Amino acid sequence: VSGIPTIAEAGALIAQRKLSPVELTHWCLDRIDRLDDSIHAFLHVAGERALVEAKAAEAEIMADGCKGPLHGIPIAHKDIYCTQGIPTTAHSRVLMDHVPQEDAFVVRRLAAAGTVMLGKLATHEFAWGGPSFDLPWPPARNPWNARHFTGGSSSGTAAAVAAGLVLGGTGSDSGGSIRMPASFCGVAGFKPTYGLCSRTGILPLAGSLDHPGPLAWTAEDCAILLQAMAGYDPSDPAGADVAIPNFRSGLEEPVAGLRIGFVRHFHEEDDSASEAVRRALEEAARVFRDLGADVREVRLAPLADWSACGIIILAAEAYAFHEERLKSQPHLYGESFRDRALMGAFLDAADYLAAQRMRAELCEAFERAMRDVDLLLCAITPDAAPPIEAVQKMGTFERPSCSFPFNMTGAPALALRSGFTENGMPLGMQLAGRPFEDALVLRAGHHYERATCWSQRRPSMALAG
Amino acid sequence: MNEDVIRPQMTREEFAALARHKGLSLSPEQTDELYGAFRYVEKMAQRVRASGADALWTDSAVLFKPVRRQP
Repeated sequence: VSGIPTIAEAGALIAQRKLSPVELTHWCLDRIDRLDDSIHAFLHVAGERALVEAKAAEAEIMADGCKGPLHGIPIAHKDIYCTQGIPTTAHSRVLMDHVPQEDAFVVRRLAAAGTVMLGKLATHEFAWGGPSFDLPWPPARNPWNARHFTGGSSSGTAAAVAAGLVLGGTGSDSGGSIRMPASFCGVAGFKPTYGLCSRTGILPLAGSLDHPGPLAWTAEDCAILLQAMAGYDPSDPAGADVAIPNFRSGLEEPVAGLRIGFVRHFHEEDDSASEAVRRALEEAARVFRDLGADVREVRLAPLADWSACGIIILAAEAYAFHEERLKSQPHLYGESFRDRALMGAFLDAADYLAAQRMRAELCEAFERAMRDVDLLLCAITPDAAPPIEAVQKMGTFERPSCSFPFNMTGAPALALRSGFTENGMPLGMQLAGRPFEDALVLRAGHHYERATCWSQRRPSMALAG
Repeated sequence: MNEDVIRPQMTREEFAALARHKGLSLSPEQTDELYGAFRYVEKMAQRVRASGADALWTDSAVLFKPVRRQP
């Protein structure tokens, strides 16, 4: 294995029988062994099982050929995805001894596509706390600078992909939990349309906001993972019974002529982004213009509306799920998750219902705005990753978030690298589309990545490894 | 805007009483900390309530729509 391959590159080599899944799995396990002590991306490494799966994949490929671009590809799952016979803890003392009897629906689909499961990845506790220093496992660290925050809650997946410990992995996003760590760790993170990927077997945070999705090095790799993850699950009440397009084959279609709405007010008026983020977004708009897109400014509802609505729904739904244990065994939770979730105890039914009504209004306004554009370009995080010690426990309530609009609407959204700070920390941006137009969002991300050089750059710790 | 639908601001004492009513055992320090953060959440609750203040009722149909199942 030379360099750190993308899923697309490794899949092509495996299909040509130039790369062995067993060799690739050994390579990943060796990197985990040497590098993970400094970033704590993994909670559980399933090395022996991974090698059994890799040998089986190799035998299948030798006998019957490769069944797709994920056959023999090592991945790992956020530790809220249930995995049969392997601990699934949600990074919480509450579930220290939880060993599921069944795989999550999405885990089964990725296994059926031929992936090799390397283990379970760090998360913020129950996908909302963190970074926490009072849990049985330390928080994941940012591979670009281990003193810095990964973002969350899919912290381990973003860190593991950035460090090249895995080629891709799963995350979940209820208020930015795929896209924010993708932005801070300089990887691609895709929140698909709500209902496109089943939530069955994934520990919930807030059911009406929870979106399972992939993180990988590139938009193309996200498309490859999404192809396996997406699919109707009748046992998930949110499941969308829609035809699944070929996400990867559409990537090469041009972006020329697409109408891209640039949502400047999110980072200029509603929140104050750093100068580096502003410059990177203006430069991204220029890149899309050069690719032939029609980039125009659009206005959506202010971030304060999206965030107020999102936080009320998220806190109420999270509290509803954890209420009994928060009352009877609060000591089992880390302080960060416990205190955030307790906010839901002080909301009443009228607050929740008002937020759901407002959500419906915001969705209608979003739909109207999207009649004039095909895609949106906006910020995801207001700056690069801060030092981990600087993250405030309750800071999530103090500042509006650019991620919530697409959890509230269920619309697909992709976080991508958009540059680097002078200190070498990655900057991120966000592309979003209409619900079920996931392929278009991924296509735009793919073209942006090819037109820029950001994906050529890896953390020095990953290259040293 | 109909002021009746705006959530009244909670005092620390009311907040502590509500916590007890909800069955939560909070230390005085934890109460202080949560109350401090709740100010932000309370503003958000006021914002979502105010946005619908012109409506005479909150439309619960956004939460429930019957679906015809194929036999």
